Amino acid sequence: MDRRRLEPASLARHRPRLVRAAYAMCGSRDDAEDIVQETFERILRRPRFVQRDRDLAYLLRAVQRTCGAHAATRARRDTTPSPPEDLEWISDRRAGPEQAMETQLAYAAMAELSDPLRATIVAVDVVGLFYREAARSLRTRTGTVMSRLYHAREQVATAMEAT
Amino acid sequence: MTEPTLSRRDQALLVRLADDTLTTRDRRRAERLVGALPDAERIVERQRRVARALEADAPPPAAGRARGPLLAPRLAIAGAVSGALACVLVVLAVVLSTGERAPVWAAADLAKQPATQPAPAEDGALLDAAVDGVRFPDWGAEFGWHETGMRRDEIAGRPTTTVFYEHTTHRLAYTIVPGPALPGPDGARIVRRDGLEIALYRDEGHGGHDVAVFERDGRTCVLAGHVIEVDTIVELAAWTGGGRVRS
Repeated sequence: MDRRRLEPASLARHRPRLVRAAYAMCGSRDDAEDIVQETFERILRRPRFVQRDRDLAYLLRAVQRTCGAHAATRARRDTTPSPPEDLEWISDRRAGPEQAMETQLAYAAMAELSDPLRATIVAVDVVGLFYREAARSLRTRTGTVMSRLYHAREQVATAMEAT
Repeated sequence: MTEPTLSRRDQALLVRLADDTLTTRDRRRAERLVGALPDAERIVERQRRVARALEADAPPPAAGRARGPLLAPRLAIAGAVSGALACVLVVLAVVLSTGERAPVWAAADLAKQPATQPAPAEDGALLDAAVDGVRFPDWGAEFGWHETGMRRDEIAGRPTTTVFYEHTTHRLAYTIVPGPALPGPDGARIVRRDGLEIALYRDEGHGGHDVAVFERDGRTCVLAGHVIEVDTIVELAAWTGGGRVRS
C-alpha cells in the first residue's frame, strides 16, 4: 500500500474543517479549538504515515478520539446548549445571511442526533469525506454510512423546518 | 413528520441521488424508485438542503453549485423547454465568453457548465466515450467519482467532449481536445505521477478551482473542478485503469 508521511502543512490546510467537525461533536467553540489543537500536538510528536490522499480521514479519526476523551471528562454537550454566538461563528463568513441561517439551524439540529448519526453526517457533510472514506474512518460499511446519512439528514431537515 | 419506511438500499439511492453520485446503472434504479415513491422529490430536496447547509466551503447561494433536476421522467414539458433554452444560452455564453481566453482556460471554464447529455455507459475501467481514440476513464469503482453527464463544445475551432464526474458535493469536468496538443498557459506547477507530466493551475476566478492539464496519446486533457486536496486531481489524472487508459 502506498503510504507517505503526513506533512505538517496538511494539518493547517484541514484545520477549519476539523474545528467545525469537533464543534459538531462537542458543541462548544472553545472545546472544539482545544480538541483540534490537542490532536495536532499529539500527531506532531512523531512522524505519521498515511495512505495517499487520506490525510483528512486520518485526521478526523484522530479528532474523534480526542473528542471521546474530552467527553469522558467534561459535561456532555446536551446539558449545555450552544450559545448563539457559537452558532454565528460556525457559519461561513463568505455566505449570505440566508445560507448562514441555514448553517446555524443545521448545526443546532445536529446536536440532537445520536452519536452514530452525528458522526456520519460530520464525516460526509461537514468534513467532505467520500462515503467509502467515511465508512473506513467510522469502521463500518459504506451502505451503513449512506443509511445513517439518510436518517441524519432527515432528522436535521425536520428540525430545521420546525424552527 | 415521520420518515417514510424505506429499505436501506432505497435510502442509499436517495442519498446518492441527492448528492448526484449515482452511476448509470443505479440511476435507472433511482428512476424506478422516484416513479414509485410520491414523496421522493421532497425527500431528496430535504437531503440536499441539509448537505448544502453543512458544506464547509459553501459559497454564497447566488454563486452556489446548482444541482440538477431529479430525473428525466419527472420533468414537466415547460421545464424541458426552459431547460433547452437555458442550454442554448449556456452554449452561446461559452462560445462568447471563451473567445479571448487561452484554449486551456476555456476548457477549464466548462467545469462550471451543466451537462447537456447523459453520462456515457461504463465499460470496465473506461467509459463508452472517446476523442481521437482517447477514452474517458471510469473512476467509480476505484475512487467513488461517478460520471453524471456529458457535453460537447468547440474550443479553438476543435470539437471537444467533456464528461462530468461527481462525488458527494464535488464535481469535476474532464475535457479532451482533439488534434495536436494545445500550449499550456504560463505559471503551472509541474508534477509527475506514474510517468505522466501534469501541469497544475489554480483558477481563483471559479471560486477556487484546481485545473490539471496533461496529455493522453498526444491529446490535451483538462481536468478541472473543486477538490479538497489537489492530490486528488493528480491521482485521478494519472490513473490508467490497469493500463487501459492510453498514455
